[in-house]
Formats: sequence, C-alpha cells, structure tokens
Amino acid sequence: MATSISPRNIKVDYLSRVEGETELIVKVGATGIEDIRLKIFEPPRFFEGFLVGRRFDEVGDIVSRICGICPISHMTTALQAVEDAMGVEISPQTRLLRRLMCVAQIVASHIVHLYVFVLPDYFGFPGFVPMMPKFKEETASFLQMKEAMNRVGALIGGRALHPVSMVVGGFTKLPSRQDLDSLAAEIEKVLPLALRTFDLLSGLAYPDFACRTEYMALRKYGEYAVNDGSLVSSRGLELDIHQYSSHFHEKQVPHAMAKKSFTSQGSPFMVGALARLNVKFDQYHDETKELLCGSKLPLPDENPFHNNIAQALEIYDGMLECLRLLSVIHPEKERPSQRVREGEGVAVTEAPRGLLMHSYRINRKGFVEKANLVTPTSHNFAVMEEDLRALVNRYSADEEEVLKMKCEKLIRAYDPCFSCSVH
Amino acid sequence: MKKHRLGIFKYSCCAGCEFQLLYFQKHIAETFDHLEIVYCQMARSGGVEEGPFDIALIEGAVTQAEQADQLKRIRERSRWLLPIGSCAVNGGVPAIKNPTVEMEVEKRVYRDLSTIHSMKAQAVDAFVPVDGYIKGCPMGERDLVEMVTSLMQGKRPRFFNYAVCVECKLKGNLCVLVARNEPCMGPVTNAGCGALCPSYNRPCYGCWGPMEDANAQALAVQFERMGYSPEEIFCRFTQYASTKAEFRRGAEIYGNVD
Repeated sequence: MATSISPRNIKVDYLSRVEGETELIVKVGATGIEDIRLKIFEPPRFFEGFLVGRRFDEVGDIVSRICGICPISHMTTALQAVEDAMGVEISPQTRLLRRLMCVAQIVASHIVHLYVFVLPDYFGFPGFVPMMPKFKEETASFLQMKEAMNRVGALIGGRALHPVSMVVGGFTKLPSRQDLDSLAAEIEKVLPLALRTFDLLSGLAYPDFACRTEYMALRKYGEYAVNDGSLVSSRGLELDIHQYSSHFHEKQVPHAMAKKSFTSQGSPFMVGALARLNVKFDQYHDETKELLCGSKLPLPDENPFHNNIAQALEIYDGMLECLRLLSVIHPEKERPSQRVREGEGVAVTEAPRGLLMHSYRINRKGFVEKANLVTPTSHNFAVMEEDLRALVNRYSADEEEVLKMKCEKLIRAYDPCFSCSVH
Repeated sequence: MKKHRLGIFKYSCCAGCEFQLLYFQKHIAETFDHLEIVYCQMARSGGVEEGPFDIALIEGAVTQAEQADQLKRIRERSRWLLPIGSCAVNGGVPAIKNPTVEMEVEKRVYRDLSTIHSMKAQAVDAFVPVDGYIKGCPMGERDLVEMVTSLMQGKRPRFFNYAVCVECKLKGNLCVLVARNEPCMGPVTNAGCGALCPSYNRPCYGCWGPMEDANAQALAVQFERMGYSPEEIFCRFTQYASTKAEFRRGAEIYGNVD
C-alpha cells in the first residue's frame, strides 16, 4: 500500500561534517520519490585543466593540494602514473616506504572521519568539539592515535600534510633505522586504542538497511593491496589497471560540479573500506580477522552504514601493517631515479575513501599534455544517490527530522570528500 | 574569561588548513575553552553564518562571485579577519590556471560549460582588507599559535617576515641553490616552514608564497644563468602565488602571467 507515503521535501543547504560542499535535495510526492539529488556545489579548481603545461616533477606536489585529508594518496597515485608514463622503475624500498605512507594516511583519515564527522551523529552533538568535555577518553584516544599516525608522514615525508620527500623515482631523504623504531614504538602505544575504537564503532545503533551493489577494490596476491594490484569486484570482474578507461566512464551531470562514474554497463558501484572488506577481508592480518569473526558482521556486508565499522577494522589492521612494514624496512641510501621520456601512464590506488585513478600524457620535454583524475567520491557518487533513494523508500513513514538525519548519516557513512570529487 | 567567537569559512581549496586547526588542541589543551566555534561547516552542524565574529579565518582562493559577496559580509561582521594558507593568502595552487584563458581551462574538464560559473582565482585581500596573513601550505603552526595567543592577550600578532634562506642557514643546511645548482625558491619565499625542502635535499618550491618585497626577477635571471629553460622558470614562479606581484615579476620575463 502506498498510503504510508507522506509528501514532503527534505533539504540540507550545506551539509556539515563532510569534506567539501554539497546540498541534499529529496522530494517525495504522493506517489513516491520524485527527486533525489546531491547537489555538489564545491567550486571546481580545474586541476585537469591547469596541469596541462606543467612539468612532470611538479605534478605530485600540485595534486597533493586536491585534498587536505588524503594528500599522500593523490601524490602517490600521480607519481606512479608519471613513472608509468615515462618508464621510470622504482626500487623495492621505495615501494615499501610508499606503502607505509599510504597505509598510515588511510588510518589517519579514518580516525578523523569516525571521531570528528561520524560520532557526533550517534551521540547527538552538533560537532566533536562540544562532545569533548563529556567524552574525555574518546577525545584523548582520537588525539593520540591521530598524532601517532601523523608522525609517520611527518617523519618520512617532512610534514604530514603535503609531504615533500616523495618525488618521481623515490624519496629525496630516507629515514634512519632509529626513526622507524621510534615510529613503531608510538604506534605500539596506540594500538589498544584502535581496538577500543572498533568496539565503540561496532556498538553503535546503525539503521537496519541493506543495498545490493557491486563492490570494487584493488586486489593483489599476497598482500592487502594499496598502491598496486588488479581491479577486482564482488561480481567477478578482474581487470588490469591499464584497462581502467575501457571499463569505467564518467558523466557530467547538471546538478553537480563532480562527475558521476559508472561501469561500462552503466551501473553504479561502491568503493572504499566496506568494498575492501567485502572483496578482500581474507587478506586482513590474522588479529583483524579474529576481530571481524567476533563482531558477527554478515559477509558480504551490504549495509552502507557499516562502512564506518569497516573503517574501524582498517584502523586496527592498518596499524598492524605499519608495524610490519616498520620492522622490515632497513633504509639503504639511494637517489630517486628520474629520466624524461614521452608516454602515457595510469595508476590506480586505494585511497582512504576507495579507488583513485590518475592518468597523464607526458611529452618528450617532460611537460604534461593531458591529465585525467577520477576520485573515490566520483566513483561512489551514483551509488550514494541510489542508496539515498532506497533509504527514503524504506523509512518513508519516519518523521521528517528523523528521516533527514538518517539521510545525513548515510552520506557521512560513505565518508565522501567533495573537494576531491570536484577537484 | 570571555569566549572569543570564531568563524571558519572555506572557499576553493583542499580544506587542509581547517584540518590543521582541528588538531590545534594538541598545542594548548585549554585553547578551546577560550574559543567558541560559531561557524565551521566541516566541524559542526547548525552554526551561525552571520556572526558576529571576534575572528574570522578564511581558507581557500576566491573563484566565484558568491564567495566574494559573502566575504564582504563576513568582513563587516568580524573584528579580525585573516586568510589562512596559501590559497587564501596568495591564490595558491588554484591560481595556476590564471595565466590561461578561463574558458580553455574549463573546456579541458567539462563538456557542458553552461553550469560552470568560475573566475580567476584570487587571494582574499583582493576583495577585503585583512588583519594579517597566516601563510603556508598547509598554514604554519607557529603563525597559528601566534595568532590565537595574541587574540587571547589582546595584542597584534607578529608574523615571520624574512626569507626561507634565513631558516636554512640557521639549520646549517648545504645551500641547494649555490652548491647544488638547483632552482631553489628559498631566497624569495617567506619563512615559516623551517626550510623544510632544503632539509629534505630538494629545492624550496615556494609554497608559502613570496616574502614581502622579494626580488624574484633577480632570482629568475639567476635560474636562467644556471641553465633552466624559460618554461621551467615560468612554472617555478606560478605554482603557489601567481596572483602576487613579487612572484609575477619572476614569471613575466618567461611567459604571459595574465
């Protein structure tokens, strides 16, 4: 019976506690949903436009400025795409150090998202700052974990935000063994806090909701893929990253500055922590798998709100992975290898919010001729709107304010980065 | 003690400066007791956009008319207004597009331009008077601490006003410009980072923007003498502050800055 549907308009002018700027519009008429849109009004900065004509060795530093919460992901992806274009080989040591930087950043990003953006929703506060006096322990956990993870970027990269040591071909300065030991000691200290974070996040009352979709992630033999691997989906897709542009396409939509990404069949898909959980939970560390078993999450988990739980799992797993990497890296002196060659290159990595693609064409003088970037939030844009539609249908009998809050929670669960998505 | 009313506004940028602010507590745990975040969309719901503010911090370059309109309203409702970070201070990375015709840049990204309402990226002080600059990309923590503590003590903040070279010499680094023949922007770039890039074996790329009255032209000519191509030199001076006169004087010998 359609009688339970009450016509209403839900509108959030400028959604708070997300990275970047968006408006949410939901119109429900007497016969059902008439309109659901995420009006991403974040102003475009035209990175793909102004990268044309820039030198290959500027690209990493410039694209880092796409995002203040995942700069290392953009930087690493760009460096790898430029290296792919120019045929630059990197050393196994560079590969490990980049993995360390990227995993630390995934963990740091999830920590900020869960504590600052998500928890206020579930505890009924407008933001994290007003929560602090009543949640002293959580505040301390947040700051300590964030500080420990920032230290990885700060020590190896020079600074946590927009690091400077990462360049085409390697690192301009290498950490000492003692540096790595000091980082390991700090992460050891906060590891129990990651467990507490998981308990906290897995204990929240999430809306009972499921949405079937295709989960997409990088997968690689032998490790939880972050910076390399094949594109793999929960529906059996397996693709070399160089075939990215033949399988995915972006569409400009009139209501948003961000483009929407679809598979070649025109269907939406999900990327990010939950997608990674569904595609490669078997590659978590054993301790994380135990945690997952104890939590009784269904697998595959099709509740997008549980992306928050998947992020909490990755905080713990990421810290374990940082500790492993810190124990196996024995820095040996080497200089970044750079040589200019014309060509086209592509890289796909796992940023905190999911798959991130950069591709460039470099000319024989080393300048960019063409640039294309697709960010996790562009990948998730279509499925976010689709899930919002399903959510409004499922909870159409809710009071308006309650439903509006659920919509906001759902958007935040995806951990969208609208600055990235528009770029 | 009375709480100072703080407003934080984001324009075209990566939001990294706001993230820096969120961890400010680690410097002085009591700071938040003296600050009331009246408006900050990224940190809280339901803020008061209209103010009034004791201090308004602006991050991001201005690239849309609506942003400029709001900026003027904020100025009138704020005792202090400061741009934070290179985008707001100097136009930053978004201003790399400025020397290219706007429509050409837009067409490289979007097929349908009917919904795009962008303009050249400008610094905040192109539209409203400001009470100081918190430079850096991301903004420097030292200047941020100086600003917040000055506010609480009711005094004018004092910011760095000398070149990265000074910090580099104090650190005892080998000069990357003279000794390694690399195009270091240190001599014309404002200090505050602690000579980060030279300390990591690479030339400064100028992300803090120009030091006041820097002689970028002389440095640009020096780069040419060292064998760098006009295109490379042009890129050097247009990466983080292509709106600022000092850096433009270095770039304009080797390319069109407007």
